[in-house]
Amino acid sequence: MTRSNRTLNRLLLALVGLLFIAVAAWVANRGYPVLDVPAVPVPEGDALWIVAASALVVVILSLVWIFTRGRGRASAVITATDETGTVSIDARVAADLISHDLAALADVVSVSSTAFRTTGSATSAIALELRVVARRSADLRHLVDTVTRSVEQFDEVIESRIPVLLHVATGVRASFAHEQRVR
Amino acid sequence: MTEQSLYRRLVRRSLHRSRSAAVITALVVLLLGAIYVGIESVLGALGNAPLLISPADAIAAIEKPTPVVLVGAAALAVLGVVFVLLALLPGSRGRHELPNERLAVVVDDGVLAGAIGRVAQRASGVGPSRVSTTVAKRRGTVTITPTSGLPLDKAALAATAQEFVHTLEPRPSVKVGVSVTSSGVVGA
Repeated sequence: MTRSNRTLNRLLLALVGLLFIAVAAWVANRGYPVLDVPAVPVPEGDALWIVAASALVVVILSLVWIFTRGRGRASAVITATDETGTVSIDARVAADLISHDLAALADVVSVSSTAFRTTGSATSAIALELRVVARRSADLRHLVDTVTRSVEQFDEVIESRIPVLLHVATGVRASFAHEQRVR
Repeated sequence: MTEQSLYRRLVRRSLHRSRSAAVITALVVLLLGAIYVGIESVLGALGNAPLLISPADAIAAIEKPTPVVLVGAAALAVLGVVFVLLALLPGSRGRHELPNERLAVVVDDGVLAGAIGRVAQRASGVGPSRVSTTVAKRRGTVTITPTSGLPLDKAALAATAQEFVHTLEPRPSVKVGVSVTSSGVVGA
């Protein structure tokens, strides 16, 4: 989970796609004329500098966009500061606590967690994503209930309630792992 | 923003694919093109020899395209169509949302299928290896191979599986169908 603006991503992707189609259509129209469009003037002198400057702008804007994707990850779930110092709890602590509670459950392959900053003025600026990789034979209801209980315990430990997204996934590892068949 | 609206947004983002990789690919292609055009323009403006083709020759090639240029244009058009489709299609990730008091919960369709299959398998009494389940956005299909001579009640199994899905309340909702293969096998 990142902060990237998805609507803008889609819009830009569509624009670049349309630009490519337009250029291709222009060339195709010259090869097989359908529309009578004026010829492109051959750039000379200052016009060449203008083209070069526009190319530079495109390059800079593209680089800025590329390097601002995927922002918003954080390492700490919570940071508390008082006169004696600062305490911060790493996102991995949450995964460790929850995987401890899930250890008794069959069919859970792995638990991992990442913290990320949410945009806008959220109830809490940090949210936690928990990824539980389970085999297909897992008891989904029991798994979700167990995670809910351990998150509630985690709430008590850190004395606040952070937003948590639980993702129950089937990983590649899970599909290759042996199913536990207990009947 | 309340926790509920935050959860709605997190779930929505989780159910759909991000276009970041596609946008980065598109921009890299655009970037390389722009770098090349920029270099040739500067070389042309300074009166130096071009790297590959001078701006005037490039425009002449576009104005009277050779087959090679036309093939290049076709490739560019295909790339453009792919980008536009990636931008417009929903990009569903094959996941469902489950309601929960404390968490925002999304599950891969494979996990949901496994859970439904498990219920159907227990109700049918056949071995786990004889039940296969798939879940799509709004439909789940349980395929059961019965034991020869022991017919299965398809309607009852479907009702059991559907009842289980109702207790989970996945969003978007899933309608479960059960199909029993016409030829059974011998054994457990």
